[in-house]
Amino acid sequence: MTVENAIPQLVFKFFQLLGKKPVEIRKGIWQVHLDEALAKELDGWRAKERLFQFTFDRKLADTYGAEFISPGSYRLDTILQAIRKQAALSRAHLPHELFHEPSIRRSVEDRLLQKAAASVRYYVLNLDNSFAPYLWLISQVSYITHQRRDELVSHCVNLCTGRVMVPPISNHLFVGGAPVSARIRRRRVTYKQAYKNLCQHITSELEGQDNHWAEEAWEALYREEEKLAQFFEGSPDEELEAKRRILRENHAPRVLVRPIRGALLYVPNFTYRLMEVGLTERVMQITYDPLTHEISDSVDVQAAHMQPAKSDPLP
Amino acid sequence: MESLFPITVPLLMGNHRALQDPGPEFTDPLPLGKFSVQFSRHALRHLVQEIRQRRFDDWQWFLLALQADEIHLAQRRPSQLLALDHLAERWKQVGVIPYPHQIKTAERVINEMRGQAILADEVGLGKTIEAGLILKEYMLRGLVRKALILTPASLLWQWYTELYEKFDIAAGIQRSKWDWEYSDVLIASLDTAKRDEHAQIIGNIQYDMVIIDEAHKLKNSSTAAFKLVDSLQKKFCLMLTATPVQNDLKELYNLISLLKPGQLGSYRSFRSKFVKDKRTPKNPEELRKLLSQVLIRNKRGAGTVQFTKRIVHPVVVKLSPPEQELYDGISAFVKDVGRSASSLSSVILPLITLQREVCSSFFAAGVTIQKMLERNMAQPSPALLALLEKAAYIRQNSKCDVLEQLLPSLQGEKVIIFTEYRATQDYIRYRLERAGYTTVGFDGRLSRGKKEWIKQQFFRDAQIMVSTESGGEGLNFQFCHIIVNFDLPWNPMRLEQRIGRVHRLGQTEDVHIYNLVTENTIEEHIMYLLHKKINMFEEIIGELDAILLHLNLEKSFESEIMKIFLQYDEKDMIKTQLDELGDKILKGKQQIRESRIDLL
Repeated sequence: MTVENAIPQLVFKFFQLLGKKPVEIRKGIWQVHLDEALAKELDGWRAKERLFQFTFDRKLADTYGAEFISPGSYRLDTILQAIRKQAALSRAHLPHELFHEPSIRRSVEDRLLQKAAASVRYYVLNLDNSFAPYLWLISQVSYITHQRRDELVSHCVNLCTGRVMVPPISNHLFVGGAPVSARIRRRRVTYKQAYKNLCQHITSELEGQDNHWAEEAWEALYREEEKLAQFFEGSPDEELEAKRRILRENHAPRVLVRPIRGALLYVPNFTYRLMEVGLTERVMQITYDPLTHEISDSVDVQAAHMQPAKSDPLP
Repeated sequence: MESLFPITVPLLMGNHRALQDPGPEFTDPLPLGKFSVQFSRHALRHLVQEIRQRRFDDWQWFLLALQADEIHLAQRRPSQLLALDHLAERWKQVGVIPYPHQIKTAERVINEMRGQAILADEVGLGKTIEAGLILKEYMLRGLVRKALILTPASLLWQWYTELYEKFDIAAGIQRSKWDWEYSDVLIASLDTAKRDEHAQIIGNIQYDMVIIDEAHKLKNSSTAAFKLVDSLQKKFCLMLTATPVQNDLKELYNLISLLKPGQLGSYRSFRSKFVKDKRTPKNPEELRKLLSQVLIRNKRGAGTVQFTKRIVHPVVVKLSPPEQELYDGISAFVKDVGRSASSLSSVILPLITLQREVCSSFFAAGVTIQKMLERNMAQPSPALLALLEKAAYIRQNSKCDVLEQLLPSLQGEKVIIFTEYRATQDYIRYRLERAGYTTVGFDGRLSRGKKEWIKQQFFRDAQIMVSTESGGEGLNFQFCHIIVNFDLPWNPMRLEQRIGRVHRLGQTEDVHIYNLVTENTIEEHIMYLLHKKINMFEEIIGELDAILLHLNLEKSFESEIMKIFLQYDEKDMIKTQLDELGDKILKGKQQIRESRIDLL
């Protein structure tokens, strides 16, 4: 979706979440009542309640005096600012029902059978639905020279395994809040460690990228330094060094990574207790993560009775 | 008040200080070949704290905020100016129309000059707008948070108003030592900043952008102002001057080196390569090429700005016999006191005031005479008492009569009437209201808010504004194109300020200036000097201050006129003397034009 198309959607959603419904008073022009609190949020502390008319069409704005909302416009900026101040941290979960469990079961069995000997069979004894916690971080990556380019990058860290990945599933499928119907698997990675893993992951991504921008910045910087050296010829070295230091501090290429939003995501896990029947028999427990399609925690529980995994208390 | 949003979590983001000073917030730089990378430390700490306290926000708001983040970043197109779209609505409200040369300048400074430039447009082409646009653009791009604007003290308010009105930048004006650290965008006087106690503080602050207005004051590298600007830690720097080089190429070298040391090499190499003598450049083409990398000069003419015309209408007012009698009496009194004073400088100011007031209205002169009498209650001057008595018996004001006759010919157009005195202002308003006109009064006592309110009233309802303030602190009235000078200020700068309220960028009509001049008074002479001799009403905007500065007449212009008036009685002698003063000004103008080295 282009920015132009996304803007009306954003504006209407904004009013909807505030419990307001803009009315189309003329084709292409909407009107909404701004109560005092919202007017102040958008226009500063001196604003009073008023009727706010807006449009996304420049011609209509010029003809009827409604406020024009477009990329870069003042009004869009105030709305963006108001929204961006909200919701730095949230949580959501994917319901188990979103996945077709029989297909998953079949898929798990097939994958096990592929690895096992031809005579081996698996029987599912029971299924335990649980959730794996993920830390989802959206970071603003700023490439800084004398100019600045920003981009958003999004990563998930599995808090059970510490593995970092790019979220493979649309965030609109998630349901707000923590799950209440099933247990949440115990977090085995501290947040600090998760963040460390994320930093390592981003670092390796940056290393692999085209760094032409940095080369250009250095070239320009060297040219400036050359001029400086010429200017300070015969002057004390400290003066040159001081100017050079300021120049490098200001213009040397660097990347700043700052997480701006985070969420705890609870992703359904399907834990099967299986009986493996072949030359011998044994009971095993495996967990399937539909996000990564990985089978993990394969535990032989023949000798020891299966212990339920400790879980975080439900929030 | 209840919270509007379901906010539970304060901001993780938006800490722009981080850009400034990555130390505390960011990890140490990790070198990755051609660049380094730093990660936020605060974000993690903050996040963990919030999770532990279980302060989670609504998921729908979270998704919306995420979408807002994406749009916010997506609309940043590095090659285009964000500020133009951002300010479009505001400019429509305040009547600003950016000129193509201003936009082009801002683009060049940002995209090609790495935010370091000398803006050397000719006067009146809007250097302040260009600087404001560049500052706003950098702020929107998140590259500038802390900015310092150094200007002459007289321009502090003008900058404040321009930034606020046209660019929605709420700057602070430096008043105390604490302001340096406290304000993100600070406007300060260069003279204050260079003082030791301030310079030390400023030297330790890391500025994202520094703007220096009237930067030609930094042409001498041994001055405290030069040293201060040289010592500032700044990422981007703009220097504004209409005269980057006047008498000596070294001035230009100093200015450029202050901005970008080494751009013109060392002074020795610059001298050998580019200086024939101190005013004649060698290799001008090569020098121009180097200069064009750091200096932008827009000139009047095609592609920039064409100002509308100024059309002057002198309106001669003949005083009634009692009025003429009072005028003569006051003039005689002024001459007596002036000639008998042991030191003219001690009495000249009140005398100038009285002489000017009597040309404005007898109410204004009467108020001053009364004050003078009150000051010497013990020994009241009989001459003053007689003058006061004469003033009290006058029942006619010929200037106001002429004004009332003039207004119907203006066909209901909006008019600004300027006078120097409040007593006159009140009287004019009384007369015009009585004649059925709607008027508003505007003077220097009003707060900024009230001034704005009165401006709006004038714009919407009133036909006439009677103003005592010529400066107007940045208030512009381009929607009006007729001004009446009810009395003439003797200082041409004040006259220029009056005209400048309406005749400026954005004015689409020719400006008509009606000057009410009383016959057989000193006003006649002043009018002769300003209009006929130096043609200042139609002078190129902004050039006059440079001429007066050059002739050291900036503050003493009125005294010069008064001295002539006190010294001579005959009309012809006064005219000859004023002719000489006029010639001096014309010569100064010529000198300034010739002394500019034609490089730019």
